[in-house]
Amino acid sequence: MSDAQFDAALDLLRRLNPTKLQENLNNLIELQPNLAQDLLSSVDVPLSIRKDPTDSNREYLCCDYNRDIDSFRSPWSNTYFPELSSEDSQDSPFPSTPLRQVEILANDSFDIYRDLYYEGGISSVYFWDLNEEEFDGHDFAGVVLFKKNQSDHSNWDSIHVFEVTASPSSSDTFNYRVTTTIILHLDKTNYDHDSQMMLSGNLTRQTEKDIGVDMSRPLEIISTSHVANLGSLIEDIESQMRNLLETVYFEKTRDIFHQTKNAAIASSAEETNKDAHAEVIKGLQSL
Amino acid sequence: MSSESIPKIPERPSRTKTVELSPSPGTEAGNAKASSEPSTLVEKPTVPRQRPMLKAKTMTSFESGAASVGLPQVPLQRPIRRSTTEELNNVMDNTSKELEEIENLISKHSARSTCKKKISTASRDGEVISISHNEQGTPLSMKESFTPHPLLPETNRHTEDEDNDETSLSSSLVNLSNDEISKASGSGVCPGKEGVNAVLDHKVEDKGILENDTTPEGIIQPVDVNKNVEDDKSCAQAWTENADSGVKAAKITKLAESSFEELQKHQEEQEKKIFQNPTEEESTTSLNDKAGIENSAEENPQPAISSTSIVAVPANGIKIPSKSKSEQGNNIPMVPQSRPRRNLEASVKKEGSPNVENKPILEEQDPIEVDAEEKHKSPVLPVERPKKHAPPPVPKKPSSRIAAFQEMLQKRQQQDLHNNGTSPATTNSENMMKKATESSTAANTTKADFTNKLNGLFALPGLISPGQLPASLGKKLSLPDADSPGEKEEQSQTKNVSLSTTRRARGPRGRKLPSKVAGVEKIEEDSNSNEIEIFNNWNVYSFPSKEVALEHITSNKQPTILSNEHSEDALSEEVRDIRKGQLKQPSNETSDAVSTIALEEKRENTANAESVPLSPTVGNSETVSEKSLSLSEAIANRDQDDLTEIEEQRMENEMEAELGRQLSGSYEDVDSAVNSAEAPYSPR
Repeated sequence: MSDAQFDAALDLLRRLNPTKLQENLNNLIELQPNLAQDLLSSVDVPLSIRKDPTDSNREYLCCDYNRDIDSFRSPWSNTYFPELSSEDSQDSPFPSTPLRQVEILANDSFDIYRDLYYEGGISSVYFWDLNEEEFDGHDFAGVVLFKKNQSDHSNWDSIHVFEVTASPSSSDTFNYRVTTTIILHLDKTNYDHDSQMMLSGNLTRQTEKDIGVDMSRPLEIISTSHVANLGSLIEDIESQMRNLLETVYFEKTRDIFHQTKNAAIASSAEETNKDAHAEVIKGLQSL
Repeated sequence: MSSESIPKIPERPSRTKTVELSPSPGTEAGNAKASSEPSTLVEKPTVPRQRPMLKAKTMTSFESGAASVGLPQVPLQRPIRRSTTEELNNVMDNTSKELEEIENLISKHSARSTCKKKISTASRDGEVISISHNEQGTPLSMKESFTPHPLLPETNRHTEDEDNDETSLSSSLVNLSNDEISKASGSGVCPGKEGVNAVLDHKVEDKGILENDTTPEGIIQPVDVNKNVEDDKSCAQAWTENADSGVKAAKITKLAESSFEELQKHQEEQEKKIFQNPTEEESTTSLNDKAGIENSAEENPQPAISSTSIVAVPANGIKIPSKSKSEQGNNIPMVPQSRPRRNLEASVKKEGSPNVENKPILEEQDPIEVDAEEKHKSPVLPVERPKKHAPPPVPKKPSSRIAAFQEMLQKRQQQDLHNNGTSPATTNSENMMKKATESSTAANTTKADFTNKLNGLFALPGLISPGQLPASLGKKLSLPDADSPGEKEEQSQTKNVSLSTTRRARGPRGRKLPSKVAGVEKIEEDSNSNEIEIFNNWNVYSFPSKEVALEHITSNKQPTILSNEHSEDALSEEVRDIRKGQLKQPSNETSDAVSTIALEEKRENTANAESVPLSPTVGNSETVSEKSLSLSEAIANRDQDDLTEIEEQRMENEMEAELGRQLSGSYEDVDSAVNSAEAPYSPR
C-alpha cells in the first residue's frame, strides 16, 4: 500500500507546477506523514545555499542527503549548521573517516569540474556509508550537487545521486548507479506583468555502469579510482542531458512559440479573407 | 676603438669566424688561387637552377645559388618562408638587445663606410639588415685586420689551396651581394659610395670576372673570404651597378632571407669543416677563435690596420647579407614570382627583421649547437608551410581546459589501473571528446528532424512512461561508451533505467525528519461504512402501587417457590404479562409493579436469571430500574408477607447498605447486593 501511495505521490508531483514543488511536497507529507522520509529523499527540490562559518563563510549546497533535523552538514568542515545539540549531533550521520577523505577528494575534484564546465556556481559532494562497517573501498553512496544562479530567478540545479556497490559477477568490478536530476528554471520577470515569461521543469535519468577497479591497490588509489570513474560518468551524463534539454525541450518550446505566432497570423488572414468574400458576395447580389 | 668593437665580435658564431679566419691569411695573396676554383664551380651553375626546389636542405643548393647570382626573383618567394618562421623569430627576440648594441657599434663605424649609411637610412628594415650585416661583418673586419699577420695559429693553418678557394668563393659572394645590395639600395641613397670606395674599385674590377663566375662553394665559405677586401668593394659595386635598378622589393626579400642564409652558412661551414680539418677545429671553438682574433688585433703592430678593420666591419656586414640573399635567391628560384604587394612588403620586412635577429643567437651559440639548430630548422620550414595553408582546427577555450583535465584523470587512472590493461576512464574520456564533437554535429542534424523525434518523446499520456525514451532517440542520446570495444572488454555497461523500476540510493541512516515535518500528525482515514451509535437519552422508571404488588405476589408465590424447574418459563410469561401491562397501562400503575415484583422473585429463585428489559432502552439503566423495583418489592413483602418477617431485619440492613451504594450511583453494585440479599430465599 505504501509503495502505491509513494508512486502516486511521485506521479502527482510530476504533474504539478514545478515552481511550487516544495509547497506541494509539504502538502503530500501532511496527507501521508509515513511517506515523509521517502518523499524527502526521492523528490529533488531546488538546492539551497548555506555558508560555513568555520570555513570563511564558504558556500555549500544543501539537500536532503546532508540534512539532519533542520541542519545541514558542510562538506568543508564536516559540521552541521545551524549547530545541533549535543544529543542530536551524536546521532547525526557522518561519513566514516576513510570515506570522509574520499569525500574531500571528490569535493576538490568536482570543484575543478564545476569551474571548467559551469565557470561559476557552487558544487558540493556528500558521501555516506551503505554498510555499518567502515569504508573499505566499496559499498558507498553519495550525491554530487551543482548549482548556478544566472540571476535571482534563473537557476540550474544538477543533482547526481550515486551508489557504488560491488558487482556480484566479479570482485573487481563495481556497479555505479547514478540518478541524475536537472532542475532548470528560467524566469524573465519584468515588472510589467504582461511580459512575464517563465520556463521551468526538471529532468531525471538513471544510469548504471559497471567499471573495473583494481582492489589489490591501496585504499587511497581505489578511492581515487572511484572518484575518477564517477567524474567521467557524471561528465558524460551531464553533457547528454544538456543535449537532451537543448535539442528536445527548447526546440519543442520554440515549436510551440512559432506555431502560436503563425496561428495568430493565419487567423487574422482568415478574417480578412472572409470580409473580402462578403464584399464580393454583396456585389454579386446587387447585380 | 677597434679593441672595443672586437670583444663583442667574439660572441658571434664561431664558424663564421673560423671560416673568416681561414681565408684571411691568404686572402690577398690567394686571390689568384681562388680564381682557379671558381672555374670548377662555374660548371655547376646549371645545377643551382634545379636545386631551388630542394633548397636549404642540401648543401648543393647553396652552391647552385652562387651560380645563379643574377636571379633577383628569388627573394620574392622567400617572404613566404619567412612568414612561416615567425615563431622562430619570436623565440629569438631575446637577442634583440645584442643586435641593438651591434647596431650602435655599426652606426659609429658607419661614418667610415658609406654603404652602411645608405642601408641604415633606407628604413627600419634597412636597419635590421645592417644589424645582420654588422654581426657577420664584424668578424670579417677582424679577419681583414688579422690576415696580414702570420702570427695567428688559425691563419697559419689555412692552406694556400683553401685560401684560394675561399677567396674565389668570397669574391663570387661579394658579387652576388653587391648585386642584391644594389637592388636593395635601389632607393639610390648612397651616391657617395662610389667616391668612398673608389680606392677599392680596382680590386673589385679585378675580381669582377671571378665574381661573375662565382660558384656555390664561394657562397659556402662566404662571409669570411669576401669580407677581406670585398666589403668595401661590394658596397661600391652595388651602388654603382645597381643604383639604377632600385628594386625596393628586393630589400624586403633579402631581409627576410637573411635568417635563412645564416642557416645555409652554417651548413656550408660544416662542409668546410669536413674538407678543412684545421679550420674545423678552429670553428668548433668559437670563443677560441674570437680570442685569437683579439690577440691578433693586439699583436698587430700597425694601429692603422685596426682602424681599417673597424671601417671594414660595416662593409662586411653589408656584404654578408647580400651574399646570403644571393644564395637564397639561388636556392629558391621556384618560389612564386608574384611578389607581395608593397603594402605587404612592410609586413614582410617586419617578418624578416626577426629572422635577422635570429642570426645573432645562432652566432652566439656554440658551433655544435648551431649546427644542430640548423639541422632542426631546415626540416622545420617545410613543416610550417602546410600550417599556413590549412591551419589546424582551433580548439575551443573551455574544451582545451577540459581536455587537460581529462588528460589528468586519464593519467591517474592509467597509473592506478594499469593492471587492468585499458582503464575505463581513459576510454570514457576519449569517447567524451568524440562525443562532444559528435553531439555538436548531431544537434544540428537533429534540428531538422525534430518533429520526428517529437513523435516519440511527446507522446500521449500512457503511451510511454516519462522515464523511457523511444528507441531511435535513445540510440542517439545513448552514451557512446557502449560502442567502444575497449569498454566491452571491461564489461562496462551503461544503461538508462526507468525510475519506476528502480529507485535511487537512500540517504544516510540516522537522519531525523525536519521539525516542521516531524510534527505532522496522520489524519486518520474513516471507513465508508455507516455505523449506528445508540445513546441513552431517556429512562423509564415505573414504581407499582403496593396493593397491586401484594396481590400479585400472593397469587404467584407458591408456584415460584415450589417449582424451580419452570421458573424460567414462568419468568418469561411474567415478563410478557408485564410488557403487556406496561403497554396498556401507564407506568405509574400498580399492575406493572406487581409483575415486576413477581419477576424479581423468580429471579431470586434462579441464580443466573438475566435482567429483562422493561423499556425499549438498552443498557445499565434498565438493570438499575429493575433493581430499584426489587427493593420496593422487598419492602412490600416485608409488610404483607409473614414468611419474610424472619429475614426482614437482615434484609433491611442489607438493603440499607445497598441503598447507600445506590445513592452513590453504582447501580450494578446495588444489583449484586440485592441478589446477594435475596439469595437466602433460594434454598427455600
